[in-house]
Amino acid sequence: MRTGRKPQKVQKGQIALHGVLGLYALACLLPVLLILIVSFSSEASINSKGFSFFPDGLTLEAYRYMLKFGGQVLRSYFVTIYETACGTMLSLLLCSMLGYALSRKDFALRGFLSVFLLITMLFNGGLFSNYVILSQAYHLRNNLLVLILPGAVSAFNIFIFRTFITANVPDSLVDAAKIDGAGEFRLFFVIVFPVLKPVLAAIGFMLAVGHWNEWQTAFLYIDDSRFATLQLMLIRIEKEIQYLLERINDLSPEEMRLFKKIPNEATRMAILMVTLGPIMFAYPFFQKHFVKGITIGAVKG
Amino acid sequence: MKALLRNTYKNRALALMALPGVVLAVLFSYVPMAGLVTAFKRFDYSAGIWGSPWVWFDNFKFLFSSHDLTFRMLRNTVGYYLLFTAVTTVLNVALAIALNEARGKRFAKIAQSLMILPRFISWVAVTFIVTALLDPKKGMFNHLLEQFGKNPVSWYTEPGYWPAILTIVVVWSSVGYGSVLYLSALAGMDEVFESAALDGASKWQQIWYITLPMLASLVCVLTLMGLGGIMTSNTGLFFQVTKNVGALYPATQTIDAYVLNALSSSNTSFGMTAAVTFFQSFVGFAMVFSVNMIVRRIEPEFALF
Repeated sequence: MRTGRKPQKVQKGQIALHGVLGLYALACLLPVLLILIVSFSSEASINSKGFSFFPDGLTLEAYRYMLKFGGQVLRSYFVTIYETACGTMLSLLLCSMLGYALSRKDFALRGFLSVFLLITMLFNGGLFSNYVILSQAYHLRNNLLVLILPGAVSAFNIFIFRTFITANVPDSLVDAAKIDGAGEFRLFFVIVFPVLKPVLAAIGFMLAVGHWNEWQTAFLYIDDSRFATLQLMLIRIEKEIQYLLERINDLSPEEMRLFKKIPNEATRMAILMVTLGPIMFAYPFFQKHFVKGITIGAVKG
Repeated sequence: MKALLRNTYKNRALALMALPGVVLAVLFSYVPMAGLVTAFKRFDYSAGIWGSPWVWFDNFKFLFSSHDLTFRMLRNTVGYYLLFTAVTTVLNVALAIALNEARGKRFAKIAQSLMILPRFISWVAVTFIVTALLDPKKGMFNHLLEQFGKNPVSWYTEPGYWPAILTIVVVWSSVGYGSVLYLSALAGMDEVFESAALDGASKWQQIWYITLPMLASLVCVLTLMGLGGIMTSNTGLFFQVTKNVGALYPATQTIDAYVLNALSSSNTSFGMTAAVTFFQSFVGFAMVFSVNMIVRRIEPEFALF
């Protein structure tokens, strides 16, 4: 009797568990789905029903309009791709080289360098000081370098590289390569770098997503719309609308023209979908890497 | 000293590899640390840091004499930090256990992928999503409220709703991702559970007596290490998602949101901003340092140094 009942009870619990998990997963997805549906909704539907999962009819109007509005979207796309590609590669290269130097036990400066980097994790100048230094002392306003240089060196990532190299590149391998006459650079790029592949993928993906989604740097340092990233472009559109809507009743003819040129809700959501696209696309391919990365990162560097 | 120089010369290739990173760390970490002296000056943008006159502690006097604003910023910063940490930690662990217990591994895998997804959506995009839900005229919530015959709510002028709204947004965006680490700590422990089940432990007993104690030290360590960020807050959440609306400040303005607002508006008096970031940096440092001492005692392999 008892043995007959127990599996059934477990079954019920399992069904409930799967139900809850499924519902939560759905709740995570729905907001993105809403944006997607709105981007295909007609303006008339948005005006009468608001943002809805069930619009009156679907249309490609927003995407067509976006292509017309396209110049800035395309430019911003290039700026974001530049930031993501250059920022990620630069950071991976510098951090892995530093991590390698720190992993070499015969390198006398490693103790000093470790402390030097550790301090950057403990203490920072904060938002205001950074802003003053970067804009006033380095003149990085409206300079594309501001998007890639400030965050390039991450002590945290360097320590991950160091730990990984120490654990996966045996000293004997390094010694053997040196006896064979390989210089440090050959040694690093030919022998160590390939071993780092999984960490490079894990950290690289997180860095790339970070750059793709980064808005604050551009918001603070970029005014020139030629250098506006996608995120900054979205912020600007939203801000202009807020500004004009607050004064909708007394707009000058000039502002009225501007107001008409601003993309409508559906188009804004279409632009948003286009900026989310690459991440949604890359995400499944990198999932197993960054899951590994989280676990590596958690254990001490 | 001589030995150090000789060793560095011998390893000059390694030193050369480290150099570019070190230069950037000096430029973008160390110099801004030195820039904290602005807290003791009346900063004038055109005069620069060195040209601005010293005022010593005037900025701090001003900071601590404007009680209401300072208290509000501190309360919001620390309060949300504690609230978010408590809520997300509990949910991270609960979700990890739930995913671990689920028999349908394929199902759990796909569900988990969807749960992690929000972590990769930019805060600007989240702002658009929240607007789509809460916009007073076209937002989905107000349309639903009207359909049920209720009055629409003016979400962006009522601070009272925002602690809940912000918590929901944080949970949505971070819990799936946050549970990954706990889940990986649980993976590979199946044998323990099997033997417990053979001994007649029920599912709840297993969770209570095996799973939770197993995760306890990890929870402790991650919570402690996180404490270094007690004075910081996510501007994506508190500046973007709230649209930096003045009416919401009582419930949404944190130190970072205040500073970002000061920097982005054409404000010319930076005294308070400089003082508050100085305060933030030092409290942050003290927290990281002391917490690390504690972590080193209880779980040395997680300590930073």
